[in-house]
Amino acid sequence: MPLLNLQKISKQFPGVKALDDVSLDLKQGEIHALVGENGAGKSTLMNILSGIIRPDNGDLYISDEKIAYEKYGTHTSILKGIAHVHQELSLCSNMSIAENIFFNRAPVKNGTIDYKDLYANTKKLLDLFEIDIDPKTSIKRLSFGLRQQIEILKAISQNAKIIIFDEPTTGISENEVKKLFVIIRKLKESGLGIFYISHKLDEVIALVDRVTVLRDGKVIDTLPKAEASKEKIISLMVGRVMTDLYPKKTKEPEKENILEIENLNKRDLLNNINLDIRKGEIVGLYGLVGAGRSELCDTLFGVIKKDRGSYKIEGKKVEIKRPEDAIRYGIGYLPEDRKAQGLFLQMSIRQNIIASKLKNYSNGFVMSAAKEKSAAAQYSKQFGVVTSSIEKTVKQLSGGNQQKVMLAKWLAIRPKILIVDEPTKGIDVNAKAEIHKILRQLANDGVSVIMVSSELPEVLGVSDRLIIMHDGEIKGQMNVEEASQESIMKLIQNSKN
Amino acid sequence: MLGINNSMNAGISSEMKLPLFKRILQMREFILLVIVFAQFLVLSIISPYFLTEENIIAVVFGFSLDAIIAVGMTFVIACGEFDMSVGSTLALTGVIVAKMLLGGVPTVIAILLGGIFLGILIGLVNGLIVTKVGINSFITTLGMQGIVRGISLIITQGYPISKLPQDFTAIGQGYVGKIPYTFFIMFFIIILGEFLLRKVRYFRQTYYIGGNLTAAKYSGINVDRVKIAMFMIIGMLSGIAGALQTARLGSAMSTAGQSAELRAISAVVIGGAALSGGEGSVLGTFLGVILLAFVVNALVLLNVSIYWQSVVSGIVLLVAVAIDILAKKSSLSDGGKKKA
Repeated sequence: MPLLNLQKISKQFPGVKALDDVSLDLKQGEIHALVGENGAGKSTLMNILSGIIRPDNGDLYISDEKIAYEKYGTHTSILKGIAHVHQELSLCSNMSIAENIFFNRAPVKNGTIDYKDLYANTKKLLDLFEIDIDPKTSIKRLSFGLRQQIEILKAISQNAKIIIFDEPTTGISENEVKKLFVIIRKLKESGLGIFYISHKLDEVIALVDRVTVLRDGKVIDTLPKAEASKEKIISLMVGRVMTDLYPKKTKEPEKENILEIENLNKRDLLNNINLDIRKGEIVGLYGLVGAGRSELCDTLFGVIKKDRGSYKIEGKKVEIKRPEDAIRYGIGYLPEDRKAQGLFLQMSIRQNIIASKLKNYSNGFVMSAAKEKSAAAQYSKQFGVVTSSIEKTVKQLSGGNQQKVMLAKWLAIRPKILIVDEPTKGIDVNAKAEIHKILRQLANDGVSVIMVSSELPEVLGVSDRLIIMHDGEIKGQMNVEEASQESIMKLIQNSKN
Repeated sequence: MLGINNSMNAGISSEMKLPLFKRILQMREFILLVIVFAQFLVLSIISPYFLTEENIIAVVFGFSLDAIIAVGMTFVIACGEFDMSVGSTLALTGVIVAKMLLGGVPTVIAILLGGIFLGILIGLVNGLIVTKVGINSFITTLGMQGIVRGISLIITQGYPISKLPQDFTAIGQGYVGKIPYTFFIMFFIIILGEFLLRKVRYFRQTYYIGGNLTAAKYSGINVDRVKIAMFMIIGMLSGIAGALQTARLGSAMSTAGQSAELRAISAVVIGGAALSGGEGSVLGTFLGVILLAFVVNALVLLNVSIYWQSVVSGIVLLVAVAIDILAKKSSLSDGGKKKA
């Protein structure tokens, strides 16, 4: 009897089919890995398990009991024994380890909390997993890795039967990873079922019993441990025919450099970055989350202050201290998180498009309604923003249309260099193709594009040249013709060791 | 320069236009105008004193200074910030202007230095603390409120400063025909404020900052500088109000302007601004000020004890905001249904 059984689960988000007929099971005492690119559906699936999202179709069985979704929420999922260890942990940092683990179930004597008992219980639990630390220590004094271990103990103490780990080794030290694996194996031995989500394939192969590969919301294959090699997993993860999906490169980038970055440094984030970008070139920045790609973009755009280094634009040395400077030199930037960093959700399409250079839409100091309207109308039409009116608030648009509004906003400044960070994150296939086409068209018109993407096929399909980053450094670069998905993944996996 | 295709524009803009009538009905300012007008009618029916000259002038005097400060509050709230120090600033600037006048400083210079310049200075300090130190504006200006009020108490020792020169008090007490000067000054500030916030590029940036601070930064808006400027403007307006108050009463008091910040914030919110920023108009704020003033006046005319004033004002504020939130919620759930 499987601990958990998912049957033909589907979930549609506006514009994207996040999950498509996904069936999956988890046995007692099993570590089951879920791998796939960003947007493959892993998180949606796990959010369904923990009651955050309700599926459109399909059945969910926990210990052979069919779950009624109407009565299934985050609270009931915990009662059913499902615990989710998120990347963002849910601990109260001002309280002690003991208070966190037994946060609402502390032993009570005479109407007050029995701290002696509380600390004793916690100590027992800590000893069981050989974590040598005082239960009274407050959470804020612990490293990220230790906090994660406390979060796991909290789940166990709530009688969890299934624990979901979402990228648990991001941002913790080598030793803490080892410790974590010891704990996970102990959980397995005691009969718990474990879902393990990770981009780090070496870890996955070392740790798990089965690997399920997801792509575009579908289960591609489930491999037993014996068949799960890195090469095989990678090919399943990225395997799709690309030639038709991406725009054809009709024109070579020009010879002259538009941007030269020299010895760029930022403590803890960027280490000695040197990078030349040619006119009309699309440069793909690839690397894992935390490799420093977004930080490089933020620094170049003046959002993060650099420590050392210099920039030349069209051969002339320039100083970029603030985003205003970058915009003045003709740099546009679509940041990664469009809702938090890019858009004014409550404001209209028109107001969003003009935001990057209000000066262009005014006569002297006074804004011109006519200029605002005509420019917003022109650009939203040019980039195919589907809307009945440019006065609609951006919140009402689909992800793909929102992304086009952002593109329109930056193209309205007539940029020489356009930085795009995950430009097609969470949008559907058609909108993706449209955005790729726009980027290629821009390059043909002589605009240079720096594209950050975690989707390898996208990087390979859209860029002229690839830059591979890891740990804030540039680890390698290659022309896209010479690159293959396998060679890049290997380079990254190797630079980790 | 942008190479605009005219026929295409025409296509989009005609789609975009709702019938004019419907658009006006949806405007917050229009709804407020109807309410204020209704108040006016009801008051003139239930009380024979409402339309008397003394009463109308008293009402106008009463809300003029609040309105001046509320214009600045509209700017600050559009940025998603607050200023709790306006009432204290009004008191301190009034006291300093009075002290300077008694020390023989000419009227114009006393108003410029002790009123306007000092107000700007207080606003600058507020703005620098909020943006550069990073203390949230509520706490920053609450602290400033205490400091500034305290200084004016120290200077006056609690006594009013009177016997001010006549050329100064005339500014607060003079009339053109039957309309007080103060009203013209307020009217000018309202019109200017409405124009600035609606039309002028620099002020337009406040909506972006209040709408999404991070996105505003990424759009190349110098967020800190704009916020500091708005704090300086509200400081300046509080200083002007301080000088006017002193001139009108003929004396300066360290207790002047108490809870002016609450009245100003109430008016801005009733006028349609969101406290999280990104919305609001000066016209809406002005109508909010009048609405509140009529409510208070009604209580006076109906011989309700003066102690009830703040109770009723508080209820009006809560009801106005509650209606707003409920209306927004219902329109949101409609949107959700359409999607499903």
